[in-house]
Amino acid sequence: MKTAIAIRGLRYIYPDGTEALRGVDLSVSEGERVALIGPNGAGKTTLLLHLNGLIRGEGEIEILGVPLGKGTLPQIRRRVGLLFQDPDSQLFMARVFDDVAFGPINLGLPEREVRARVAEALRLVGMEGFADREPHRLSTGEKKKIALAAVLSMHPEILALDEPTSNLDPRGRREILGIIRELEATVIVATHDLEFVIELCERAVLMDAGKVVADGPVREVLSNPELMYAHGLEVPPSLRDVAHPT
Amino acid sequence: MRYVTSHNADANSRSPLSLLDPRVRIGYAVVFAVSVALTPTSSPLRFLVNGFVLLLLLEAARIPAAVYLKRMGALLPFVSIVSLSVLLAYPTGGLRLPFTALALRVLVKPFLVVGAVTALLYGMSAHEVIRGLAGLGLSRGITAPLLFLLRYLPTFRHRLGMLRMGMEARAFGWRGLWGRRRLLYSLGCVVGTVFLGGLDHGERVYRAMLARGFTGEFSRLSRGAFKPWDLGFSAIGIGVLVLNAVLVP
Repeated sequence: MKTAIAIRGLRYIYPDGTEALRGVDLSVSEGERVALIGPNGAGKTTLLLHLNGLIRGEGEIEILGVPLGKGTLPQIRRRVGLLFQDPDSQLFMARVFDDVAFGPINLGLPEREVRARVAEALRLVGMEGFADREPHRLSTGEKKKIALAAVLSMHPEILALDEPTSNLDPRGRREILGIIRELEATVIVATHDLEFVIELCERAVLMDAGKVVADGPVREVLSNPELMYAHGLEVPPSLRDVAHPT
Repeated sequence: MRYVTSHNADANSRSPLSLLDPRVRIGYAVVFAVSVALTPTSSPLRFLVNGFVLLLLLEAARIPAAVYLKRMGALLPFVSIVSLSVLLAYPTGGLRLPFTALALRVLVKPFLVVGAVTALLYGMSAHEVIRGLAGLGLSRGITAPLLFLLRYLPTFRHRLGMLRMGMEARAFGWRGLWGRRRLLYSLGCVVGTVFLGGLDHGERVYRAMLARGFTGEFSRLSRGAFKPWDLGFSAIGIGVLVLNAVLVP
């Protein structure tokens, strides 16, 4: 299986001096669904921002065999779709259609293709008929789905999702889970929703203080109470029997 | 669940004017306003024709009388001030225009123009108006910030409301001189927090734009072709105004 994401020795220090990433090594294969878990401030979001070249630290990043650099940014941004935690940061146009079309237009696609992609993306997230709506009038769940459609309309091969289920009610959470499950893409998702991780991903990468501290099959990592507690997490309820068999 | 927040949208979805392209609606409002402004006061008959056009527009907009009158009421202070100045100036002999001409200038022209604009833009959202203006060639440098403002104003209002609730939830209030100082200090902090939050939000929005391939240049899809109804309305509407100017004495 080919490598979708290869990160070697990635370090990043924010302008205020906070060391967010301290030498991260990570490899994700094509088609894999990987969860990035860890306490607040572990560096999960910072790592995701690197995948799209939005911030640049020291170290090497290769996306689908292409080294991340100034010259390859347009190509990489086309192939990596980044979903932000706060949909209000992502949906900045006054109309849903314009927001979903923003990426395809930037790709220089012809108008017919742009319209087809917008329709397809809205259908994928079950939001047909919302094209003319104003994003600020939508509920959080609807905004999340539109933000996901805005990413999907670029046909990315890798999806980097930052807290896709935060602030969602159970139905919204289930809908997002269903949509992501159906996608044929490499998925890397940063989240605190461990039940979501169990349902979606096959591999979990535990980060803390800017480092990868554990990397393995989801059930193995999440059902290890010592490991989880040591890094500010808890074994999710559905795995507690596995962690402490009676 | 219904998302329609005002009766405007309901009415707009049924009216013949709502079928028009926003560019045609805004464009015709401008043409009508210019036509009325250029109509000489020596031709009262032309004002009658303009009034008839306005009635047709109001009918086509399906605008409720109460809404129309309320909007026209906004003109009253302006008209009252001008009328009063005219009445005061008359006895001094400073104004030599006949009373009919003055009435047409001060009363009829503003009511015709504002009435037509009200009818033509009735039911259009601010977003549609801005897009219509952009479609008519207004610079992207003006329309893009307006669209951003339209998008984020509710977000900032919401944030401000949350901060206010946060203050009130902690029994914030006006208590004597010390309270007044604290009030000013706290309000300053709120404004600062909203401002800094806005900068931070702007940074995140810009990142989201970059993540979707933004290179610093706004591109847009074509403005879309006019429909036969747009062309028919424009031809008839402008034709009537031209004939009014040429044929009516």
